[in-house]
Amino acid sequence: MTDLIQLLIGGLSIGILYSIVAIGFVLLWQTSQTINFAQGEFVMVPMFVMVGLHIVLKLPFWLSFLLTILASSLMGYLFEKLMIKRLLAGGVIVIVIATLGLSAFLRYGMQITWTPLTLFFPHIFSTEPIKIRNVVFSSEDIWNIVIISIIILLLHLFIKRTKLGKAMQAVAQSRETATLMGINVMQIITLVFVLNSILTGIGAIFVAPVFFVRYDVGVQLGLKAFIAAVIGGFNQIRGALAGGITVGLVETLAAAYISTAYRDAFTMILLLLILLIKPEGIAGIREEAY
Amino acid sequence: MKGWKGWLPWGVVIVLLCIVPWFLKAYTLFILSFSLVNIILAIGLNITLGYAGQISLCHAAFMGIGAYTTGIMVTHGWSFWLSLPLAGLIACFFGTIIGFPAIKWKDHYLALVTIGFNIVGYLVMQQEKWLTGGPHGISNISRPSIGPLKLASAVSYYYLLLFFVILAILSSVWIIKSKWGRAFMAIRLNELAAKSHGVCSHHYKLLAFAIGAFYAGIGGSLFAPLLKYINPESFTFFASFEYLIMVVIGGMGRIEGPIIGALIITMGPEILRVAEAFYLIIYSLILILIMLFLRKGLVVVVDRLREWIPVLRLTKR
Amino acid sequence: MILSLAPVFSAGLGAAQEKLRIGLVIEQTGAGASLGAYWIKAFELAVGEVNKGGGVLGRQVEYEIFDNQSKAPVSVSATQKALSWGAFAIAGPIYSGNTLACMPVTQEAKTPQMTGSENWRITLQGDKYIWRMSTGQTQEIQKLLNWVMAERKPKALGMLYVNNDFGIGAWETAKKLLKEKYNTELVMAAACEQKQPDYSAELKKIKESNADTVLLNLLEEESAMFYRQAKKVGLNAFLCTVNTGISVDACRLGKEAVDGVYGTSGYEYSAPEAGCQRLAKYYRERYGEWPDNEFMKGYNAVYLVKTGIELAKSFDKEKFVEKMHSVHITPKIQPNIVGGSLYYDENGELHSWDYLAKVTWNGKEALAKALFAIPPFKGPDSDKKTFVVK
Repeated sequence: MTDLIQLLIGGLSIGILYSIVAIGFVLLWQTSQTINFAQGEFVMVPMFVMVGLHIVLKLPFWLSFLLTILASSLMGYLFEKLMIKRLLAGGVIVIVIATLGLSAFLRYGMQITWTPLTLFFPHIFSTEPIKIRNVVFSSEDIWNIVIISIIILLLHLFIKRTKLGKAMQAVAQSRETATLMGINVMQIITLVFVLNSILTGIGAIFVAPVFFVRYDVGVQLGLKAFIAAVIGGFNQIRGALAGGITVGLVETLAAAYISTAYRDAFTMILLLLILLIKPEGIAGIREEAY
Repeated sequence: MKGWKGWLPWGVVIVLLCIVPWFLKAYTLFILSFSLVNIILAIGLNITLGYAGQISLCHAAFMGIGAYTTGIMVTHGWSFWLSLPLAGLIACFFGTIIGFPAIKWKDHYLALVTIGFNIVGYLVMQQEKWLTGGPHGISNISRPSIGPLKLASAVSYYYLLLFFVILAILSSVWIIKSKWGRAFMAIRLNELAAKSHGVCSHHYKLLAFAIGAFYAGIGGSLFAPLLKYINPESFTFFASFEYLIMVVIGGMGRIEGPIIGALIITMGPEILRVAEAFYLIIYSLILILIMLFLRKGLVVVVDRLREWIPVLRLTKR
Repeated sequence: MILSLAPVFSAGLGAAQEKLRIGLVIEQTGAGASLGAYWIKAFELAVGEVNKGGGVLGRQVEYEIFDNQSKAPVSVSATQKALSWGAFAIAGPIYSGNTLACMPVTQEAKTPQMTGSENWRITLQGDKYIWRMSTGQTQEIQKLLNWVMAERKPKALGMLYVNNDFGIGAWETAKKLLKEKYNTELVMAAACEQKQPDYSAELKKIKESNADTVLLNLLEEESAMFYRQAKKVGLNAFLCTVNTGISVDACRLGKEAVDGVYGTSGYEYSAPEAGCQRLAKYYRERYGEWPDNEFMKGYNAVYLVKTGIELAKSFDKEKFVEKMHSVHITPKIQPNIVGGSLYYDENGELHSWDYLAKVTWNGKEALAKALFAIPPFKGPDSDKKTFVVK
């Protein structure tokens, strides 16, 4: 029994990290039909910025964090203004290729201009083991889960309750109708992209101590987050939370009880099952037929 | 303008491609040969994606299936010529299986399912040592011979590849111009409208994947003896992304598209070698720029050239 | 006679003379870039040293980087390009898949190739033009296992390996050795993904198998992440690993979690051998870090080409091949060579000393220190016994 609980904690701790990266996928798809294949890199870049500010320049943590979020939002803003604006008319495939290109550009850019080596990032919360009846975890695990869950829930409330949030929902449902209702659609889309980057920037400091800071860390993060978003429900913010946790748990449990070598395959099988049984995702709401 | 004049530029290109191997250094010939393999693969993906509008991000897995079929058979003494059609058919079988999810899902759902298939395929190639040699791969894949004629040398294998490329181009033109091709385009443009005109979109989606996978299997089968060694690393979903890029950059839904795309993407890093380690940054930047400014693909450039150069206007089809 | 006159000649004739070309076919970009970077730096150092010392048989050494993008097909074309550039010898690649792909090319061109790959198959292809720059993965896991069985006498041995050619090969070697020599089996074995962040599943398997010793064959990052989690849950087993697990990167990333881990090291900075120490110090002073063993491997590649030519007393490749098999190389023969005592058998396989090191955390850095010296399996030193390092 303790084994199972230990595994659940492990799966949960990783899953929550997938969640924070997954929200962005959901937001961007909803408002602008963008599948952002560079989402993982949007987490990777702020990781390096944090290292640069906090470790290399030795700036205090909170200052580094704020500056990183600023830099990240700027990146999101530029991404939207320079790329997305022009690409929206091109269709899904064009955006896929363009974001693939962006992903490679950011990845190799970082590898060449900074370092191909893996960098260490200090833990923000204590990793001292806490033992309750043979089950071991650390305060970092708890803090990660609590803080990220709160962020996601706050975001969910923001989208559902505030005027701005409702405007985002309107844009997501129908751009033409939203414009007719007096909503400045382009502004909302820009806002969503900046919001995505803020979220990935925040996600970066949770992910960095666990995954290490590496130019290609975005690849696995991005893919897992993509899967998490689809499994959880691509049309609901809390879908990101549900999906991330599910992926984390399934990965860990399947690896422990079936086969560690085929770990990634189980996530895919889960994906297939969800798409067959409940295509709108675990926490999603049924939309019109596909 | 129909008729033989439309084929003139093609003829010139073919003749050029026939002469060129004698003047090239070994490594350039190798890269060109690899480009030919990629043209066959891109043509297949263009049918699935460019014409039928189905996102397929597991094309490299189909290639791998073809490559391993030939690799396993040839190293066990079977004839390459037996393995070639088998490679195509086995890949085609798996393509049909992938076609089923495509019936229900589109866009990012389909993208994810196909990536998933690629990941599972890669894991099988890597784990099942008894079948695929595991992560070490399969070495010493010998090149075929036609009767007494050995195709082992770089130049002779190049001609074999060229032959299959021409076959691939002609067969794809035939498919596109047939009833199937029209059905594919109808589904891509407006599935609902196509259905209401009696086009069974289910059948044609399966067919689109099956055909694309067949080409990939053939391409993979030809790839194995080119390199004489295969391992799972050549067939990851990253490789599938590259084929996607080839088709889109070249120009989706156009005959010339995959040819241009495959040549540019395969030979691109070589051309950019002067930039040393920076070539990858330049390469990805070019991808972004092409999507921003030339989103219909580089085939648009060829079209413009046809407009401006009077003699080529004769060859407009 | 020729060797002593060489400096005079090369100083006089300079650029007009013919150069000795070495093609560095390496992972400069792509997944292997971090490892390739070490070879590039090593070449800069080694070639500079050799040229300052008068070159090889009077010729200055010239090298060029032929990036293989960490891909097999590009390795082939990069090798072909290096050959058409006039390379006397090829150095690299590092990844085994890339080496297996381009070996036939160097073999056909009858050109020596100094590879950094560790896959056991490479030296069993019947290719007489290939030499390995470090002891292959088979040897390393065998030495580690032998030491563990002799010194620790474990009751239940488990193994964790990374799910790729490096890890799976080691697992197969371990299984075979345990069965044939010790008539026993692993109580558990699990494969983990590359760059995997969570090891709960693996730790559970270790725990329920009651393994008292765990063999590790993971890459640097996975090792660091595993140690951290193992420490956190208070894993009671004795951990021992191949060199990647106590390498510079593993120690840098795992920090205090690596404390108490034992591992093999051939060319690591912890190896108590003059050549390794000299190189490690150089790298530390120049770049501020300890080097990965890839740096030593790349350095040796240059010096082994030099050795072969000098032993053959000419630039004849066939004589090179003849002299460089079943040969024992020591600093007496090649002063700057790293590793102390290198024996190359008839397959181009390297047999040299490995060291069993222990990592200790001193509050600031996790450092490995060699405790035992383990002799090679073949060659003049093979009849020596494992001894404690002073």
